[in-house]
Amino acid sequence: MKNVITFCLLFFSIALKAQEFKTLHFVPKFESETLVLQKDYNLNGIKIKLSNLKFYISDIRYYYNDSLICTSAQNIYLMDVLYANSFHIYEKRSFNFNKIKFNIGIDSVTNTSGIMDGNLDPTTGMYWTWQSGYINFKLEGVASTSPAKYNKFYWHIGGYRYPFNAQREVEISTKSANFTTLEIQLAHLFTKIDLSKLYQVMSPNTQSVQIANELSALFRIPQ
Amino acid sequence: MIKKHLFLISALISISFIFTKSKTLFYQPSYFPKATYNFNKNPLDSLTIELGRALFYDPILSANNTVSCASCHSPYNAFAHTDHELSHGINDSIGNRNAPALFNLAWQNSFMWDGAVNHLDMQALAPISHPNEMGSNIIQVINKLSNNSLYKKSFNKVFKDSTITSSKILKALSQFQLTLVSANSKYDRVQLGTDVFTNQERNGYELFKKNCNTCHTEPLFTNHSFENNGLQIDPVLNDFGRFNITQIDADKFKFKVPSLRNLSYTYPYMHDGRFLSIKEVMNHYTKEAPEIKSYSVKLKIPIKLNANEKIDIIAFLLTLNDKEFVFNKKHQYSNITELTKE
Repeated sequence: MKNVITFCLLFFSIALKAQEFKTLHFVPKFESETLVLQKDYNLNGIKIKLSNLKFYISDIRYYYNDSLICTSAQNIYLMDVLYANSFHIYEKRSFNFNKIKFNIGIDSVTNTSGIMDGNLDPTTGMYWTWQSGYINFKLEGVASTSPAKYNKFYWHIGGYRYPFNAQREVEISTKSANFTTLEIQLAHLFTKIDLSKLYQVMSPNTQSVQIANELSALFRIPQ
Repeated sequence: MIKKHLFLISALISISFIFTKSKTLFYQPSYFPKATYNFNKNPLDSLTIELGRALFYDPILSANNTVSCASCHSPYNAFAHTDHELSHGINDSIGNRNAPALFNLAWQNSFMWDGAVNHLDMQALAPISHPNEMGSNIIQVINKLSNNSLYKKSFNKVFKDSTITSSKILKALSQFQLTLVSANSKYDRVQLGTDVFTNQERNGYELFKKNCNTCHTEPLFTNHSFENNGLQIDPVLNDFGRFNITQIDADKFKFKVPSLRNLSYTYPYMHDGRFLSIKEVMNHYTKEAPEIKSYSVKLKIPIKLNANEKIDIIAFLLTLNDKEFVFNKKHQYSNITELTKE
């Protein structure tokens, strides 16, 4: 009897899994290479080593010829470079799309709605405790141009209040298909942001807005 | 047909039961505005309240098991810390601000003197994590509670599931704190028509409405806004108040308008506890307006009161003391063993 139940459970879990269709795969990159933590990169003479990358993606919308085909079943995704699986998006049905829109970070309503479970649990390390609010995008590492201790830098980009709201929208046109890969070109940030000035950004302010303004441009169709 | 009636009657009875049950758990005074906390997302339940109460009084929330919420928020001081100008934390550390009194939190949408916290559920994360308060973090708290058989048993009893999570801990703490409704002062009895002010209190009330009520708006005695009331900046603490959160220049040196309820139990006064007596506070507000950029526009016309008028206002303010609240046994110390008893 036990075996029959186990078999049924296994069968249904496979069947359920089969009903999910992969629509997006996000791939963090540093220039032409897929990102590897703690690897030495060199960008225009700056030595860079990344140790942590985590961010929220929310409200994914799929379009075909400018009409909305699907809004993601799950509203908020937490992508963490330590968990490769977190970079894959699945939907309950398969459909063709040629444009997607999504937000980097958490909206102001969610930010002010109290405690939540799952991706929004403060144990994820993506919630500020001294001041309410989610960190939308967290990138940490070492860079030769950072004047901080051990040349470390900390970018915890978040905040939902005007004028330092850090949520940003991304809009990308794709080839018509039911699946696409998107790259996250982290090198872009180091060409735009001066690490000798912005090396410890951990609260909503003018500095965090400067970094937030560059986040949408990280997401690209791979060349 | 009879069946239908029976069904309707039983439905009505169960609805009225739900209403009376929630009424006893949370008191919404008729002359208060509607509470703003979203109870639908965290419906009050007597067991959850008791779990929150045990957590509130348990130093297990601090890194070295020495400091509980109640260390700085004592029930006998209307959940403030009488006689301590600045808050105390683990390893004898001292914070930067006066521990505020806790009551009528269901009507409050921002917490801390600078409004750093935007929801009651999230409030406890700040003291738990602050190095000068409890010096811990939510992951450590979850681990400690999960290794404690009494808590495991209690969480299972309350939530029908023994997994201890942030949301269960924080919602339970919210539930206990939501029950801290202070609305049994003489002022409240006068509102309900069961008591009358003395002539002096009535005169004080009229003066209060003319001079103080714009910010300390009745019946909660705060409008929940942030104001610069003209305190000289303390060069040691150098506290920018609301500006720390908004980074907007106009918010420099603004602090939350505190409620004036339970005033006698919550001294010393102001965000840094610099005034020991209500008299000092009265003198501060009747001084000449200082030349400060973000000084409250509501205070630009100086408050003029003679000595007798000050005494009358103080007589009125004393009617805001809620002795029943301060000595309510339901709010006092309890520990987790109580909850594991059948």
